[in-house]
This record gives sequence, structure tokens and C-alpha cells, in this order.
Amino acid sequence: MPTYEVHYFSYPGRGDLLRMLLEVGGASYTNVFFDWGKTWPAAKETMAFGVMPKLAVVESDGSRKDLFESYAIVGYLAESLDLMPGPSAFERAEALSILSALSELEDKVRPSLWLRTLDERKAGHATYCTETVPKYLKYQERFVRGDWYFGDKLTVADLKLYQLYLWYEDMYSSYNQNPFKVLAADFPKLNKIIATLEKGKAGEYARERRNFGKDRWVAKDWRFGRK
Amino acid sequence: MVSLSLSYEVHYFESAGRADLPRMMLDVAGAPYKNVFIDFAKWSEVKDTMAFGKVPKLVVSESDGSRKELFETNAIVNYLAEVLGLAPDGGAFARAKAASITSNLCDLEDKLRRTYGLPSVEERHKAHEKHIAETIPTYLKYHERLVEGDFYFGDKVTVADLKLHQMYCLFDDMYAARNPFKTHAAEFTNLNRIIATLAAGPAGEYARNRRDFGRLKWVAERWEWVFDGRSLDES
Repeated sequence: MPTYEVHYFSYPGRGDLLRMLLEVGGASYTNVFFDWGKTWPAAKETMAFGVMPKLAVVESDGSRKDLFESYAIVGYLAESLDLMPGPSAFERAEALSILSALSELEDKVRPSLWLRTLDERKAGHATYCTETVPKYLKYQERFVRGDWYFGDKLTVADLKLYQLYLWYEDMYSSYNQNPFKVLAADFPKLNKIIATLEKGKAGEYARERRNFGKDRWVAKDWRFGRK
Repeated sequence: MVSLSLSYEVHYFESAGRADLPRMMLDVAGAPYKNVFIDFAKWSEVKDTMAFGKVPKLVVSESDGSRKELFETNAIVNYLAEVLGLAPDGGAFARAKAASITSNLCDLEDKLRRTYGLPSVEERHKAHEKHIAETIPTYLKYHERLVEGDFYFGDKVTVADLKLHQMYCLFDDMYAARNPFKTHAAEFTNLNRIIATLAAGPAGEYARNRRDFGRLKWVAERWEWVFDGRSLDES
């Protein structure tokens, strides 16, 4: 059995889902943290595309191989840790299609994070929560095929949903504005997946090993702080 | 080995866009496929028949008549890479390495897409000048050093090379002689060798004959795409 290293910054970000997969999949892993100002600049050019996260796969004989790009890492870990709906290419592709659609929704909030004024940020997030999120989640709600996205089996698709929920909690919980909660009546299946995950290994990871004390949401400013 | 008991449909608008790479892959692999064009004017009627309200859609038809559907471009692309023999050898990890290359190039493509809908010619012009001068060469610099032979993965054409070619064609559409592959030819020798080899083979033939349907055009002086002569609203 290999062990893994997640090379990333000390906040959830694009490392969150990878870490969650490793935890839920029962894999042995360590975090290798980088500091944006101090250690990252020298490390950047050692990364295949100049970005993180990096997954290092360390085999029992000590040999190592590196993988980059969240989408590729998540697909690889899901396949390796039996968190795909099934072994065939089509089944794996269906799970990845959920990831892709949810990632697109996730990306739609990013411009609001960087708007210059507080009022612009508040308005951007408000539009996102009330208009953009329901437009995407209605298709997700429709897709769910059982207790989980893919019937009886917990897969990476469910974990991606939970990762998105947690990010919304980071940003919106202080205003009681997490769209999953506000729109709970519209998205019962999605909320049931989240509730079930909260009670298990994924929830325990989220409470104990997801946050590292850095880069918390500053509620009055509607932005993440780097402290 | 491509299974001939399977045939494919690519459902998308009558333009290259997000269907370009899936079409190129099917074409290059010699898989039987057809385009099912969606009339943009009727899009609101068909949108909700799509799993996530978006296209492209890939339909896989078995010889017994059963059909299954797959959505989301990168899921479609990685699926086709595996089933059409366009993934590097070496199982899940090798497929993931190819997926990392296509993912990073898609990241670059998304940066370009975000500027298509900028409201003024001046803003679009400025954004594209930055793409040409900085953004694109910065990404390509990393890819140049990843190439491990004649292609990204040695001797075998994979989805990574075809994605590169799709990006090259997109830059040709928009920037013509200022395509950064061309203007940085001396710096990107590995990448340009891949492009030249592909252009001389089935991928190039697809690009010249089956990629463009004459409806979506780049209007250089306005730095924007128009479909049947009208500006697109990229939302």
C-alpha cells in the first residue's frame, strides 16, 4: 500500500477534497505545507505547471511519483481508493462529470472574492447565493440516484458536494447564508448526503483536520484573511 | 483497438468550441461518430434535457441499440482518451498524468474564455494583448519542459497532444500570425514539433475539413466572436 503526501498551503482550498478522499479512503498521508511568502516562491518552479496541489505517491520500496492538477489528482485517488461508482471507464467518467459541474459552480464565486469594495463583495456573494447556486444545484438534485449520488455507494461525487458545502460554511455561516441551508427545502437529496457525511469520517476530518488556523473568513470584510 | 460495435454522437452547437477536442479524438481514432447540431435559437427548449443544463453531450451507442449519455467536456475527453486508445500506457496513474496536462491547458483556456464577454472593444483588446504577451507563453513554458519525446508521452499520440493541437487551432483562429506558438517558435521547439506532426496527419486533416462549420467567426478588429454575424453573450 502506498502512502501519500499532499503538498499545498495550510488552508483547505484546492487541497481539501484530496485530503478528504485520503481520509475517507483510509489512506496514510501527510501534509507538506508551503508558506505563500517564504517557501512557495522557491518551490514554484519545481512544480510541473508552477502550481499546487501536488500529490506524492510513495511506494513501499521508497520510490516516489508526483501528480499535479486537482482534477487529475482527485480522479486518480478516487479510483485508487475505491471511491468511484464502479471500475469501468464510463462509470468513472460519470463521477467525474459531477465533479466537473460542481467545480464550475465553485469557480463562479471566485470573482466575488476579489472585488475591490465591501459593498461589491456583499452584492456579488448575494447574487451568487440566490441566483447562481440554485441554477446549478437543481440539476445536481435531479441527478442523485439513491442515498448517494450513485445509489448505494459513497463516491467522490458525494465528497465533492460536501467539500463545496464546507466552503460555503467557511464563507457564509456567520450570516446564516449557506445556500444549502437557506434552500434546504429545494434540495432534500443533496442535504441528506451532506448530513450523512457529517456524521462519518468526512465530518470528523472536517472538524479535526481540515483547518490549520490560517486564512479564515473575516465576516465583517466579506473576504478571507491571510493571517 | 477501437470497438466498431460502438458509435458515438456529439451533441453541440455548430461550432468548434467545447466539442472540438472530442470530435478531434473520435476522428483521429477512426471511431464512427456523427455531429448532432443544436440550433442556438432552440437551446432553451433542450437545455433541461441535458443532465447539468449544458452541452456538449456524448452519446455512446452500443450495437444492441442501447444508448448512454455523458456530459461535461473534461469527463468526456478523459473517457474518450481511455476507450479510444488515446491514453498513455501504464494504467490509472498514466491516465492521471495525461489528465493533468489537459486540465492545465483547460485552465489556460478558461482564462481566455473569461475575457470573451468583456463589454468594450478596448477592454477585450487589452485582455487579449496580455494573453498573447504573457499568459499563454507562461503556461506553455511549463509544457515545453514536460514533453518526453516526439509527443508528450514518448512515441504515442495521446489526448495531451490533441488538446495542445486544439489550443493551437484556437489561437490561430484568434491571433493568426501572432499565435504565441509561432511567435515563440524558438522557445517552444518540443511543442511546435508536436503541432507540426499532428498537423501533417489525421488531426490536421480533421482541423482543415471537419472542425469549422462557417457559423462562428472571430472578428479581429473587434476582438470578439460572432455567431451568424451576431456577438455572443458569454454567460
